[in-house]
Amino acid sequence: MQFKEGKWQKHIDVRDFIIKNYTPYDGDDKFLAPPTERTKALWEKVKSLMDLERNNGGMLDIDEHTVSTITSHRAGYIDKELEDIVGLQTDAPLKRAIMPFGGIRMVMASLEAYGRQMDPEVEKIFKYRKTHNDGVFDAYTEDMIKARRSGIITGLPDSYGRGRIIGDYRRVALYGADFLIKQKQRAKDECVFDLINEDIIRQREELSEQIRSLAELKEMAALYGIDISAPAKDVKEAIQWLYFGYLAAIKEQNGAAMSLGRISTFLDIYAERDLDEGRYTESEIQEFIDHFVMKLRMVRFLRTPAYDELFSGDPTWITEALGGVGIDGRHMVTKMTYRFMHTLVNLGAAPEPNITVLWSQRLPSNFKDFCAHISIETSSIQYENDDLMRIEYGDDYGIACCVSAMKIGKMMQFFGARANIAKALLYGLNGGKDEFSGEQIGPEMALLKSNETLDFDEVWRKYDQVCNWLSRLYINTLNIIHYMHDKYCYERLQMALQDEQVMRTSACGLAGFSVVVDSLSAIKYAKVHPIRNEQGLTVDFEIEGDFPKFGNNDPRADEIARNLVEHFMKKLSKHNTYRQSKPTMSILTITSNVVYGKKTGATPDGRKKGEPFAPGANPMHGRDSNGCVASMMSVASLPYEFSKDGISYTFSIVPAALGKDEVQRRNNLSSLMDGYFAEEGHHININVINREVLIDAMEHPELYPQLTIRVSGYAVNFIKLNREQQLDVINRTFHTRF
Amino acid sequence: MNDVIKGRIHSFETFGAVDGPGIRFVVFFQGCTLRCLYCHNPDTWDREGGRDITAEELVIQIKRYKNFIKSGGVTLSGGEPLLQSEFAEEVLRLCKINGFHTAIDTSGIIPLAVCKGATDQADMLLLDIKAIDSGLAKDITGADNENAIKLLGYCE
Repeated sequence: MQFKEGKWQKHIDVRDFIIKNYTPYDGDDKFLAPPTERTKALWEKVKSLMDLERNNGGMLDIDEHTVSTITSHRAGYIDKELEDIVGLQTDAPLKRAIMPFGGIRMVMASLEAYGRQMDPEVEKIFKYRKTHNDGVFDAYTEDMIKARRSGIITGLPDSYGRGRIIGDYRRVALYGADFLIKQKQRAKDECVFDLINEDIIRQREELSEQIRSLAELKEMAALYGIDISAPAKDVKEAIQWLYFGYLAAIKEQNGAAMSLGRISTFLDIYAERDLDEGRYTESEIQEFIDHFVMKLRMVRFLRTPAYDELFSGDPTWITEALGGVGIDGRHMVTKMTYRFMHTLVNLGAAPEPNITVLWSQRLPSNFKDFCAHISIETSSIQYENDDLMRIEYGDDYGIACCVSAMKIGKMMQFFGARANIAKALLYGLNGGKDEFSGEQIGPEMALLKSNETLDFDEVWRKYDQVCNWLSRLYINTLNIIHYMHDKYCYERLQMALQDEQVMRTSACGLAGFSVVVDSLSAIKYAKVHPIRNEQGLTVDFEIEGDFPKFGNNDPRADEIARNLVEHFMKKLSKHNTYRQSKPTMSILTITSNVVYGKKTGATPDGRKKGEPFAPGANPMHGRDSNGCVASMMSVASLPYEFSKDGISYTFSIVPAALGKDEVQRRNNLSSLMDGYFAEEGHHININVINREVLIDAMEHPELYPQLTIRVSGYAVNFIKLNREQQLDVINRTFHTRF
Repeated sequence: MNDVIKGRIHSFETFGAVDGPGIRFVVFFQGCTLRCLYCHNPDTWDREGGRDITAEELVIQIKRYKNFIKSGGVTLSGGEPLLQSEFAEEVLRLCKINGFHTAIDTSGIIPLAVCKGATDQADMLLLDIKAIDSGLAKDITGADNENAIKLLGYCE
């Protein structure tokens, strides 16, 4: 059987191939196959390796001698006889590679943390070979270094891979490497203009790098005895080809988030044909997917303890977007969508790949039920609003990292971590001085006139001034970072799997969001008296009276919240960005809400010095008292149009509060998501779990090797979080009404 | 019908999953005459506590949650909702107009003559007869179960 013809055959257009060939599936989950004996045997091997890794302080092995590139390592296997899908980052499972192009210092610090020595040969190479990190610090201004140190801007990708770029790995399967190389060669030939200026020079150099990387991709596959020059012929090959594309990317880039895209419906087209032609059985196809997902669960990067503190639990954000609805009105759920989620049953819960369901009111009810069921069983899924994103991104977008939507193969972002606006508010109260050190970090400003009781209008004016400074500094800092990343650590393979002309965004972010909302609300609706130390710095607050808090669907607090989002986004839009990228913003903290909180003094909402922020756009824990729907309504009311890089909300509920039996729980969870997304909420992490289980897991981690929970924007093995973060998760609002 | 019918409520819960079918907006009425030994919200007992709200204001609040409760509904709980029968009836009437499924979660302590209007308005009655033995009911709740049994008879 031939695939339906279309323009996808003339030039690269994966979406066209999918739309012309996919089969929506409305049925239920009964067709799914259990794990095969081969899968069970292989997974046992992987699990025991993971146990070893955990017992070895979270690190099984490091190859400190080889600078990782697409072809640097010979073929590696878990058990060659058992593996349907092959390919490892190094020559052995869970052995981590060094990727120094982002920054040699990061590699040194990581090796040191794990008691390893820097290989003198490698060190010598990087005496002469400059890295991204070196470049950034050559160009940073004094202001930037100070802001970075004080923590008003943090998590910047200035010493490691920036990530958040999704290669269209499906192209490898659909077209084969040779066709891709030919296309890029033609693009390079055409990239000749009257004036060869800096942009064109860079474009030509990048195209050359892309072509080279595709040739290396072929070479890497050949190390496994596989020729990927031509298109994949069946579903097994399609998975293998696609995985090789992804593997090449993660051999060269230790990006903060290395997402997968939107592959399932694409792969289903091959699976349907194979089933039809009797090439493979359902059980065999599930086995391929199970083996592929095992590989994704084994992706490892070498990172420092400081990095782990920010992004805890060894996350890789192999985000796969599932479901959604096409522009033609047909939903995009296929059997492969089910198979992918079914890996959580066949292999047990796990944080990776980061399974993301693109929710629409129009998804088939069978699938909604299935999602709710898997969420209740595993707490491993996040959901994002397809009805909201489809307008902007069409029907072939994926999610990079946690919440960042981008058209596959047509968009990339310059990842910009986040600015701490709780600290910005304190700078406003302290004339631009840091509340801990007293150092002048922000712009020098007159101190507040409203000395006894803070005056809302005055505080807002000061905050506004700080944001003028902060947004400019922030964008300029990103400009330097991404200029240098393009120069010294360019994602040649990932960009080889994208169009030549891509749209770029500068993805900024906010941390401390609900702290600032509640602080401003307290200043406006209660009386807040600042307490100052001998240096005149505001170090604490006394609050007289009550005030509306974010997360209660109270229009007074929610209005402040919406204004804050729009306010900062508009500031960001005023500045010039590198490569004409479009500024965007997210409200997302990952697990860094703990570290950011630690670096921030007491705030006018009553939060004490050093206490964690709420994650993402969550209300501060314990302050949402009208039940979870009210809390969702507040978050859903935030304007996505001013926060197009995503608005993250994490929701935890105990099973008994969701309904009396499994059917009720499933229906209620599904209605809850329909409601939240109908209100235009953007993202939600769903945890259905008893607090006692988490407390027990803290004490007996060995009993819970696969216990997975969703934290802001990703899933994590609970036992891999550090104690502080575990407590933060446990202390967060669990909706528990009976 | 009186234009402004006011009642006293304790609070509301925007996500009730165990108070009738589906996701329910639960209104906790203020005031209860029973003193059940195991009551888990005794702060709703005092008839003078809570806050005033008109039926219309309350239903405006409820309507904001329509996207969540369209396959569930509204449950009046408490406290004892039928202690404010007229207010309950009006809230239920307005809910009906807006297409919400309604339920009353009651102990049945209020005489049928008083609560018939509200009972008739509701789609569902969650009648919690605390004990079938009248003496035991008195021990547990401080009142016998005569009215509750009558209400049950009426509904059947």
